[in-house]
Amino acid sequence: MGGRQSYLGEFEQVVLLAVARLKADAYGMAVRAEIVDRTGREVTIGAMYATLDRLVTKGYLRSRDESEGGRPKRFFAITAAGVDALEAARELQTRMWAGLRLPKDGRR
Amino acid sequence: MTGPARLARRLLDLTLPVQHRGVVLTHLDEEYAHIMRTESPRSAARWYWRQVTGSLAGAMQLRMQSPQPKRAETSVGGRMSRMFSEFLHDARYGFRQLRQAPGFSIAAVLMLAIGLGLVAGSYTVVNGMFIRGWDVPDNKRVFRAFGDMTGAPEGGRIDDGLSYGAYKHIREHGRAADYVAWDMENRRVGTSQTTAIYSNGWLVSDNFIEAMRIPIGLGTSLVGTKAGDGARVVLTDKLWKLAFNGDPRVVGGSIWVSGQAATVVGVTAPGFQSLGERTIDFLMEISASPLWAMQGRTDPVRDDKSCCISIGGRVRSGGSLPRVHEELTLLTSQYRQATSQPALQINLRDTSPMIGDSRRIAMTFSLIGAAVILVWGLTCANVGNLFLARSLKRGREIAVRLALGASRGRLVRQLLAEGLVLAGLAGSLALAFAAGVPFIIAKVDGTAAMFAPDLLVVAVAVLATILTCLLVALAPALYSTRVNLKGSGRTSTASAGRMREVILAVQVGFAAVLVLAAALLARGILQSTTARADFALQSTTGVEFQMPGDATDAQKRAARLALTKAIMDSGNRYALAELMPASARSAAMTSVRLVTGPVEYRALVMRLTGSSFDVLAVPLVEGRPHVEDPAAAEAVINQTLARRLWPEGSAVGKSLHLNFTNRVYSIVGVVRDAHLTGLGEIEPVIFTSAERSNFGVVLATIVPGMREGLTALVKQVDPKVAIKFTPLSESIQASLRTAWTGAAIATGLAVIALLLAVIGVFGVFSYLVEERRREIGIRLALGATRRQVRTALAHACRRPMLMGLALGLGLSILAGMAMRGALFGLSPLDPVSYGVVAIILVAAAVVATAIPVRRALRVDPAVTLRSE
Repeated sequence: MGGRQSYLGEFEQVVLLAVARLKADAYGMAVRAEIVDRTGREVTIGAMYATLDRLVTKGYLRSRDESEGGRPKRFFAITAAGVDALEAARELQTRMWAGLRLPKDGRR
Repeated sequence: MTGPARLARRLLDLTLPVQHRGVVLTHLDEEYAHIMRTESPRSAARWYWRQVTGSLAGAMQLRMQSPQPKRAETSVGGRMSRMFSEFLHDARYGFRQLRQAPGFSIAAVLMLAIGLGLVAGSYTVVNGMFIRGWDVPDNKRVFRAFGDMTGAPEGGRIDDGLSYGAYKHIREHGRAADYVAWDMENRRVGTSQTTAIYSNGWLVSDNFIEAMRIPIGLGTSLVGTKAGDGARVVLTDKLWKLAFNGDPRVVGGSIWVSGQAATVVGVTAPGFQSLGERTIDFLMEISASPLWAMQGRTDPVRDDKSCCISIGGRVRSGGSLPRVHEELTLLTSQYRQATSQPALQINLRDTSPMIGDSRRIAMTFSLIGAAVILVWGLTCANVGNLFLARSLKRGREIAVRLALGASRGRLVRQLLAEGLVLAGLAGSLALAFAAGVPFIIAKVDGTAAMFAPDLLVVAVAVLATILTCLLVALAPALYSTRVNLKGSGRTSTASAGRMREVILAVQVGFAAVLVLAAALLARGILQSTTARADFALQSTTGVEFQMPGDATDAQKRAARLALTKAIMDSGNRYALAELMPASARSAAMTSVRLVTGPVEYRALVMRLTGSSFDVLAVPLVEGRPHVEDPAAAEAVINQTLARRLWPEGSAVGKSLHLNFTNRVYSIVGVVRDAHLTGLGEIEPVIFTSAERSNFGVVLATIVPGMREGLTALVKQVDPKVAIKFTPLSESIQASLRTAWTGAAIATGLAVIALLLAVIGVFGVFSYLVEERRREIGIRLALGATRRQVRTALAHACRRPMLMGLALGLGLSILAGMAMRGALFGLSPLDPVSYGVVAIILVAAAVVATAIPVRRALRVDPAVTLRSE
């Protein structure tokens, strides 16, 4: 493997996956609801938008702004680079887990 | 959007970069609207604040990640944005500076947190007790109505208000609001008598739950219940779990309520447990009230023209409070005319707790509040001193920056930002403490929900934090930036020294007054049992019967009758009383009225046999004791009540209506005033008899063999009954519990204040020794004795100490006058208390100066002179 590859952080993966699941309906409120429902984890709106913005900057998401009844809404869609990043993250997990059996009591 | 959400929204609005602002805030608003549909306004506000505070870090990240569009520098928005950026920069710089001085920072934050924590904590309690309204949705539209009669003379009131009959008329004809009625009754509730527990009940109109929007978790509410349907009750979730193990089958079934059966129709949702200051364990439909009516006592539903029940309601949409007031006035007037009763003046109030006749409580909280503010002032003074010293040490840095072109205003803002970081950290700790107040109070009392911090508490904490920052940092910032650039680049030490003296004087003064307040309170309580023992306090004991746990009410009554008869027939000198005299609950509050008019006067009623005056050694000054037979309707009153009702002439032979029993009594005697109901100010008291079965206490003079004789007698009559002897000298301590609590709080504040003052004096003295190290070295080299050096140092602090003591003395005299009512007759100028305080202050001064003085005396003149 040549060069330095940047892997997704844990929360970045969660956000990307939520956007991927929602497909055309991936706007802020829906993404947060998806994350809360699936992970059971309370996510602040500010943290989520900061991560979404970072993923857009990295090219893993693209965004478009729409207006609904005069109120701005931002929709997100995963890019090909985002899909590649998710698959790379999954492959990394698979490689790290391969052949590993964790004893229940924590001993080797 | 309501208040708290608006403020939080503004905070986030200021932090978000402009290109993300609209989207993020729209998202937040949409989720908030969704939450408001399913939860209470308070839960929604809490959610909003959590989201905003949790999102601030994300908003800052967005700001750093996003390029900022340039604004015109001359626009207001541009200037605000620049100042906000500078403030953030200064705050980060201040935070870095404080991190470099961890000792100073931790000490300062902890000290300020003590002061701010006390302010936030005590305000939380005041807010919960006196300001906050009922925790129901949209409580601004909920009101309470009062019907008052005017024209009462001084000390009396005409207690004729809104009756249940009036409520029925209002409910039938009123359109401007959903009118509700309620009354409070405590009952024992359970599956049976043996498992029943004492519970706080509200008797409410059938529409109460709907009108107040109390959430129901199981079953239904009381709506539609009519007179004749029997007793129907809605349990709160807490009582349902406690008394019925959370069994859903109890809904629809019958339960035991103080001897009567009641049907449970529903259970409230979890979380609902109080309205205002009163805990609620169950809500019962009010028309069932006569089932529990006691003979000789007024029942508001059965005697539906008599005063009083509570009436209120929720203004309907489209209505207004003035319209409600108009409608209530008209409907009440119609009812009162139809029933030939005099007119009432209708007043509407919100649902904040009424202080009512608890002016003493309000006065107590005012005094505690004043003490808390003094301690807060002390913490600010201490930290201000530290700040001053620290700012002066940075004189060179400040001089360089001024020389390089920084404006003085800019430097002052930077130093203020450091102060704000400190105050902000302390304020956060204080708010965390205030948030813990409900848990502390829940250990003592159940009404914790009303003490949860709300926007008002947060606003007070924020305001106190900003004031703290200004007090602590502003003056040092102004002083330290007054640099002489052409000279040595230092600030004037003379003006800094004067400022330090003022701060020290304030610390000494505040500490002195708090220590004196604690000393006066403690002395007052300690001397109260001797100074106010104007009856046979030391030589009387109270005897109470302890019935077997499985005895029914009827069995207990029968046993009490048999025992009291046997005791009174034994020929010894005994008396019977309903409650233990001179205890925490020795009398019932009621009111009395002359039969010739409508004016009522507050009074206490003690039900006991006439022989009690003999046993308690309270002499009659007129007439004779009342007879034991309650049917004779005789009463004795104390001198205080006699003076109030009949200032001229004798009270004996006059008649009096007693609200407690709703009967007229003939006054047969007047007793000398005595502290039978407590060691505070003497209250007006009326003494009557009661049914034998009501008497739960035997009063006996302590003589040899009395205990054994009574024990043997009781065993003979009923071997299953145990008896408990409580000397009145012990039971009176229970009545002093509240006073001791107040003294303990005052002592706690005094100890904190003294500690802070000691730290302050220590700091100033240490600085003084450092500053005069050279001088001390030279004096010692020239032959001065250690005593002379000590004297010189003490002389240097003479002025601020004397100023502080003078300030303390003045404030102490004022405080003593303000606290007079809580001193149990002790003089506010009690010389013993002042003497003790003087000794404490001298000892504190010695402790505070010991280490600096020892350091000064260890100065080696040779080393000092060599270092020149």
